[in-house]
Amino acid sequence: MDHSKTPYLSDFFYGIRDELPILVGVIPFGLIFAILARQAGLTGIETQGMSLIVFAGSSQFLLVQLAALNAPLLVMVLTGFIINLRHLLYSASIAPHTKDLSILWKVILSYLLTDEAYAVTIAKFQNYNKAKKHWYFLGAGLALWSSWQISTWLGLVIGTQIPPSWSLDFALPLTFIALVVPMIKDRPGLFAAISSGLIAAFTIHFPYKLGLIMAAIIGISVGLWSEK
Amino acid sequence: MSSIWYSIILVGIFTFLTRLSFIILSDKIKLHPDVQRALRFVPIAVLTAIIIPELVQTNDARILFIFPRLFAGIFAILIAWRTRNIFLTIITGMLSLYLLNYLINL
Repeated sequence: MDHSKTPYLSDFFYGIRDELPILVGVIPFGLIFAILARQAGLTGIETQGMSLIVFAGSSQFLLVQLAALNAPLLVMVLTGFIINLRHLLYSASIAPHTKDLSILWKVILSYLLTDEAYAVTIAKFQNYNKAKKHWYFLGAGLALWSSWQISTWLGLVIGTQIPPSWSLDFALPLTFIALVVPMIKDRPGLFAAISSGLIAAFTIHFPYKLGLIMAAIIGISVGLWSEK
Repeated sequence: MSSIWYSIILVGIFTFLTRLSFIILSDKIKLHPDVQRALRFVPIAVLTAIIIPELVQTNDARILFIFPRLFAGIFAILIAWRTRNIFLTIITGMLSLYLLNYLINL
């Protein structure tokens, strides 16, 4: 395709293209989410509504598990809030690349700032200086958004349990492995990964998934410290 | 309105605000240079912290000390390191998990 007159379109399509392999891991996750949500007693509209409004896979899974246990509203909101604290880090990390955009752009891109769109976009942005690069972010974000909504809907339509022996949920951590390993290019990066991984393994049973944000902050600190 | 809607809307608002936070404030606050340097470790540290608990959960270990997901994950890490290919990493990881589960069930 010739995008020489509309360079932003080619960035938009590059974003979609780079997000496509990730969808192999995301689509089973969306299917499983919708099926679990129905089993937990949510209606189809509540399930799709959660994918549209919350739009964050890991907290959606927790909300559904808590709903099945009839957990109080405060516990659900607190849990959802804590598990999403990592988005503060994503936001800080992507902010230097979006600082000159309009408020509307910032609002749209923030809504699309999921783990998967962030990982693909930041990998590109770390060595990419172009005026229209926010179109790349939009392409990656919308590709992920559409596949999350459609796979939620498909899960509602299919409705039956996927055999656990298929281990489809394992596709998502594999996707993150495929994204994070190429980002580790030097010793401080390696130390950040090892320390974060160790803390995450040993804090796995902490409530509200507090271990995730602890591991992340320690990993970042170790990376920074080992740079000196 | 059922109570699940309250949690959907409240968690949705909080999630959106955490995502918006630094993006919307970036022209108003200046980050300390150390913090700016630390930001490059965000994707590595956060994504690793998401991955590792998925590899070491023990509920599918059928024999003591055998964690199929851990070994499949390590294999996927090697493939990702050597090939940098997303599809290949996912496929090898899934296939090695199936193989390990099959061997454990023999």
